[in-house]
Amino acid sequence: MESKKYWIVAQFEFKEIVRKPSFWLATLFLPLLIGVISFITGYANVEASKEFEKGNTQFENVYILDRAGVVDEQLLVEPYEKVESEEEVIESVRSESGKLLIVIPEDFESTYKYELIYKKDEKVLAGITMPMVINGLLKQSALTQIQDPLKIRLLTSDPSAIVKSFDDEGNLNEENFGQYIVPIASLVVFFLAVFISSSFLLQSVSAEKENRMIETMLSIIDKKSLMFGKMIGLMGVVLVQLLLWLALGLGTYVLVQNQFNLNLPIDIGSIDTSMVPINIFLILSAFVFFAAIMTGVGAIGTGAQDSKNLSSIFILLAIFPMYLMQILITNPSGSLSQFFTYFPFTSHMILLLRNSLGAISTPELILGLVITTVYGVISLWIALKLFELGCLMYNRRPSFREILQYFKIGA
Amino acid sequence: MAKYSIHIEDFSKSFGKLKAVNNLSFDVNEGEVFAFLGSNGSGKTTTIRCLLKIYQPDTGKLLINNKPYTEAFNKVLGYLPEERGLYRDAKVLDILVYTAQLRGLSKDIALKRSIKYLEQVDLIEHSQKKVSQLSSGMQQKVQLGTTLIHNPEILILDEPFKGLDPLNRQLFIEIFLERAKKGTTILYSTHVIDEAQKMADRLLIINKGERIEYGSTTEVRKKYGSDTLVVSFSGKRPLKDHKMYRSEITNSTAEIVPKEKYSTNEIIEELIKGGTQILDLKVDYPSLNQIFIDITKKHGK
Repeated sequence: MESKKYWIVAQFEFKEIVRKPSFWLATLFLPLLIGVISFITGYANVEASKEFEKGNTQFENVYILDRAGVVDEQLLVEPYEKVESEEEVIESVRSESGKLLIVIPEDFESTYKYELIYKKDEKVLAGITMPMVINGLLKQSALTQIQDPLKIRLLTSDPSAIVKSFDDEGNLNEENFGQYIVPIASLVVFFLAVFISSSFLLQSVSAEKENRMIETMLSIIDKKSLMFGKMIGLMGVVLVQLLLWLALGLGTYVLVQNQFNLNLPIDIGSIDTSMVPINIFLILSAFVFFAAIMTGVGAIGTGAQDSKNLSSIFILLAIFPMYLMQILITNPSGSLSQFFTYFPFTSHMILLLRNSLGAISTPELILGLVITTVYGVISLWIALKLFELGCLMYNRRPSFREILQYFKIGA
Repeated sequence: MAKYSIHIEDFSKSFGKLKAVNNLSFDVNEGEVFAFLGSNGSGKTTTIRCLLKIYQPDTGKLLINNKPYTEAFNKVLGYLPEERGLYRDAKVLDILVYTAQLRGLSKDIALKRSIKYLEQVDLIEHSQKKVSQLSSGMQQKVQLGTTLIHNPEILILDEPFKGLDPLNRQLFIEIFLERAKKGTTILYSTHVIDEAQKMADRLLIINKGERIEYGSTTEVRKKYGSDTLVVSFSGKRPLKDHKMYRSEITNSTAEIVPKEKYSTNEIIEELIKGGTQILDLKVDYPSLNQIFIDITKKHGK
């Protein structure tokens, strides 16, 4: 009977969210928004680099006073013009916008600095764009001194690496992008499942308390069933979102491929799925952990806004490793990574990352999985206690002392 | 219908240093309507919440049919909490069906009962509306529906008339009395005393968590004297505090309690002399309202 109650609560929570137009708007709008932003960013970068390659500037005249002799004169075509002294052009630069003077000093080799002088107005922002253009010009000038095409290529573009690694059986395998599909997808699912879903739960619990439905519910169903029912329902919501996004992604890919005859740049066969079961376990246990935290926070907050403010502390703790991602990736077994592997709020994500990159030993992984399970159980217990204590405290938050006292002796 | 009773014995509950309820004992008999009276903060809600294990009591026995409350009682028990509310974005019918299913009813039966209830309280045309689209009175009816949907045999109602207009208050009274006729045991807390006099078989008055009065409505009223004048009047209003009497006036009806040494005849003469025209007159026990006010004043709120 109790398990049936979970399902009734789960179904109701699921239906209540999924039938809201705001859910569909957010679900469909989010990938669209990401797509539009990515397109605009990509388009802008391509256009900017085209302009850069063309050497286009916002200036009609760019005067180069090269006292160090580092600029190849053959590269100076319109709008670039070599000048011999500052006095020649300084008056026109001072009085007219659209004219720029570059002064490369004699001691450029030691200072490694040049001056950029122009008349400022609302049409030009030379300080942001022009250093890139001039630096490009200086690099081009330096490259003209080198005759060897390979050296020129090495200095102008990065060669590609063919990465091969021995697996546990001693076989040498070539690594490719396909191997990163599962880790990337795992991280995306992790963020969606953990942060979006747990925020749904936060809203649900705090709204239930705010609109005073909680006492009615607690006279019908026990706290555990209510809490777990909500968690299951909201997990269903996230699953629907993920499936929709997957369908949208695949649909878009098929559409684009048919229209433009593009081939998938991924070797499907090279996708490593061996880490999937452990990643699923980590995502689920992270969901339980953060959902429990959000339930507790929702129960002790005075209302939706208060709970949201409180929850941001835990969200910040959870996403903190993102700021250290570069260090964690370059040294996945380092002491920083070790610390975050076992720290409650970060352990799930770091374990997921290290497991996906194959940068964790089996004993460490087992210990990590045990620890995340323990964290999950503890967080559920704490959440249940906070829920019991806070759910009937209307318009006030329990003090830290009250919480401790409750944990010791109950209500 | 099976009969249910409540037994509370030596129950105490504190919140920190605040003693919310102190050594309280009372019984609600099978099939009776029992009024639990007390001013705000007197300990009524705490007692009910402890009876239903929402809070844990410090000491004492709180039993339903000689057993502590368990989840199993939810099939036969309906609870209307004082702090009430509904899912604001959910549809009226969905909420009723949802709570009925949680009470163990099948989806079909839950749907039938919900529709029947909405018809009874004239809300059927609003069944597909969101709760937030309903007036406060309509929301109260839906809320009551979540309490009654499974035809409970024992009803625990915490301030059931709170925020109701006179029309809806009357509707609620009729619904409760109809249930009582069928044998439902009803315990309800209130500080609206008039309804208690109309509805309750027995009552308990508490103040600052302690029992002040307990017994049948008539017994309690008798205890406070039998010479109260209930006067319908026009003309000059009787004074609230006169050297011969004290009075409580509601519209054009005064409930007059003689002070010591003065008889009802002397008071009637004094009223007429003072310009009060007496339209109707009866000598009765003091009303529960008067008793409640006197007790609260005597013991301090």
